[in-house]
Amino acid sequence: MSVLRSIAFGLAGAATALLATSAVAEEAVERRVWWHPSLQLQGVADDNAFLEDGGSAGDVGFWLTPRLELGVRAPSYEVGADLGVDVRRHSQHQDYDETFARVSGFGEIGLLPGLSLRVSDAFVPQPVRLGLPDDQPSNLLQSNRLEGSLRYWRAGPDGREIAFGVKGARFDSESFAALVPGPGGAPLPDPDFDADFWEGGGFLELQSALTRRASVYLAGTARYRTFDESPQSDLGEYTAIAGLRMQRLRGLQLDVAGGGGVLDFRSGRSVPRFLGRFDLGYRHRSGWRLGVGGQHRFTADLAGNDFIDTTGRLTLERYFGTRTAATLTLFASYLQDESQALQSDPLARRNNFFGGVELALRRQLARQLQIGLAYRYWENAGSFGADDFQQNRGMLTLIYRE
Amino acid sequence: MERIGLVDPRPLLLVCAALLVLLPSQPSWGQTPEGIGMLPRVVGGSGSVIDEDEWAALLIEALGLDDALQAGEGSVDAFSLLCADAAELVTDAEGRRVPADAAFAVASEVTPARNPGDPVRVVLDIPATALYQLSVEGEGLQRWTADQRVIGHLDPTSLGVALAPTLVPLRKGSHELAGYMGRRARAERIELSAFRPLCIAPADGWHAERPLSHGAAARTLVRALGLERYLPRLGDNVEIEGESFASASGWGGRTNETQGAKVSGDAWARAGDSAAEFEYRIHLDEPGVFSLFARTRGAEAQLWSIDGRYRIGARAESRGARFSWIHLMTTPLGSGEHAIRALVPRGGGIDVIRVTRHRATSVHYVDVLEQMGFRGGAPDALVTREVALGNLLRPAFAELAAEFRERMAQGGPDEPIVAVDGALPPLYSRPLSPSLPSEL
Repeated sequence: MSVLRSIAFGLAGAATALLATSAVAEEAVERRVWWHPSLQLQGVADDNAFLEDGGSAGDVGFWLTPRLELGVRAPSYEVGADLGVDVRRHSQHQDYDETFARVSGFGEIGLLPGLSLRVSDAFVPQPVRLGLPDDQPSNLLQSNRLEGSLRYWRAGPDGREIAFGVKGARFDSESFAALVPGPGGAPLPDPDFDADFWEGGGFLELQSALTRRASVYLAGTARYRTFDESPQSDLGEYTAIAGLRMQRLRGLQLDVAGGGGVLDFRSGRSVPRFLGRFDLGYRHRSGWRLGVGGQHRFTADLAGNDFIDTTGRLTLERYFGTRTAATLTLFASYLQDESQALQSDPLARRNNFFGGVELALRRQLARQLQIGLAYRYWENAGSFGADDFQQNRGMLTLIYRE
Repeated sequence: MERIGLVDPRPLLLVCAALLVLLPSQPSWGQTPEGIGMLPRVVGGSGSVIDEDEWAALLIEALGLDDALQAGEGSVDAFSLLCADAAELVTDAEGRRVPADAAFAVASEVTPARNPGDPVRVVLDIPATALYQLSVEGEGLQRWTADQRVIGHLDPTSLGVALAPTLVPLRKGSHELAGYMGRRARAERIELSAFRPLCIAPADGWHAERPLSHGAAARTLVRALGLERYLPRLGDNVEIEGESFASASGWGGRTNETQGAKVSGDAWARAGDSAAEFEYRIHLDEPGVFSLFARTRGAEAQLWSIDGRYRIGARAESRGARFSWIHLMTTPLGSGEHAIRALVPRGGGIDVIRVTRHRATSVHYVDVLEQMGFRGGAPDALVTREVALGNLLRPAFAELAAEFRERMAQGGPDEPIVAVDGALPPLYSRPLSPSLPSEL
């Protein structure tokens, strides 16, 4: 991956915003330019820094994330950038120290009524391995996604809306271990896989209002993706989902959708995929807020291995006054390996079950300053025992955002 | 049919046929030239822009004021409910803001109940739909209801008059108010007047058919959530020493007895053995949005007003001889001379009054909102239904709106700060490996 190119993309977004800033008159600047500097300080202590089964040495880390969000906007265009750096330092295991760039930018312009062009780039760290905490430094690698889309949208007076367009993207990442198709299509582990790819395709979204706060929608995408390192993984992806969305201001919010499609690999294999998901939110008069969500899908990885992926999430939140909020979040995820190669030996399946629970307390000390205290328990289990672990983590967070 | 390259045109024809079936049949699209620009990013989210009357209805529902409106009632009632001040005043030929026909206030003498323990009942004919505040002249602890909905407890003993602790949305027409008197309590006169310090409206007022801009949405949201005091300050504060009052009622006077407290100017205005009213004069060179603060003494309720029109009850937290700052109101004021009146209870006092002018363009309102995690946009860009609903569904909005009527009814030391919910990252998102196609 060309890190320089990625940095250039990110900086280009920022430079565009800054150039636009300096190019306009003072009055116009006041109307068009916005920025929000922020700083996040985190103290993190855990009891299993190496995420090993049975435990390993704990560690204390100090994470620092300064950011500057800025942009220029007008009714028919918007340019924005989020310039940040994510510094992770640890007291006992300095080899885990990492510094990630969090630089992203976007530009969007309305070309004609309803027609818009959007270009964005995100040079950010991404979690790598399934079942590991998203924020574990050892589980993050730098990636870049450059995306462009041309979108047309129209609405009718009867509550129907349509949007369609084309979208293309370039993705680059640092190397990570992955299963990729080998000779003859058999999956082979590649310890230094670069998931770099190009993709392009189109989309269509239709929506129709049922009532004032409820609507049904239909969304379809067709795209083709070609990988630099694994041509056999090149695939066409065709998906359609239909859903119902309800947004009541006091009471229930619901979004439920389901659909299916096909992954059509260049190797000649076609894999059907199905998806069902729902999100439900409810706020009781007493101040309790409940969020429940889940998704269940049948899909495949790059090597053509089939998976059934089921994830559920529950959030319970309560504000005490307006400045203090307590949030309890639970999630569990089950990934079932349905590879045909393993049908004869069910014990060899790489099924994975993992989940976590987090209790977070946050207090707004001032309008710009928030302090947060959180405890999290994370466990990874399942028939693939090599990645099993349990981890307890405490986090103290201070966020200043202007 | 000759094929062009490898592209089979049949799927394209199928899509076109599907579009013809699915698209609305009317030729008149809701699309407007102003609709150029940002589009929804959520599948199923609506990209339609909303008009101001729909936004007003959404705000009324989200703030829990919809009891005051019946289905089918026009947007005029919705607008006056959100901003009585704008509905009540009209601009005359010379550009002055003068009262319209309907005065959004009504008062009545209270006839004592026939039997001890029975509530006193008054039926008032409300001239216009608005957010009202009840004031009661009398004595002793009493509880009031409007149409059997509880307004709250109040005690006019210390000032002779008390404002209800919550605002009540009422539609025009007859309403029954009932007061339940405690021992030795009595009510002599009640008044329902529109709560004018709170004006939830765009800068130039509501316009039913006009598409909602981000500037107008931000202005109305910031006002509804009581966040106007966070607008950036413009220039120096104007401070008036408490002892520099223009006039005072019988028990009011100046004193330099600090009683150990730090006092600005070594003197302050004090109410003696009974409640006293002080009047101050201030000249504003330009119109704008102003915040009124006061450094006062005493923990009992005070009653403040500007020009007799913008009236609010306030309660400080200071005990004994200490003075403390309270925020009274943030409201638009015209240029020229203004009268600030304060009715303070026995032993209470005023050290300093501070008037702060804010920068209050649409940009500043958008900034205040975005700082708290809400989604904004270019002030003159239009708001989609997706963004509008998204902001009203944010936990931060719900929490500030939950006690909206109680919080707005009284000034005080508390600032409307809410724990911003945008700081919590998702506990889990999909990783890169195994490389499931949609995750990359």
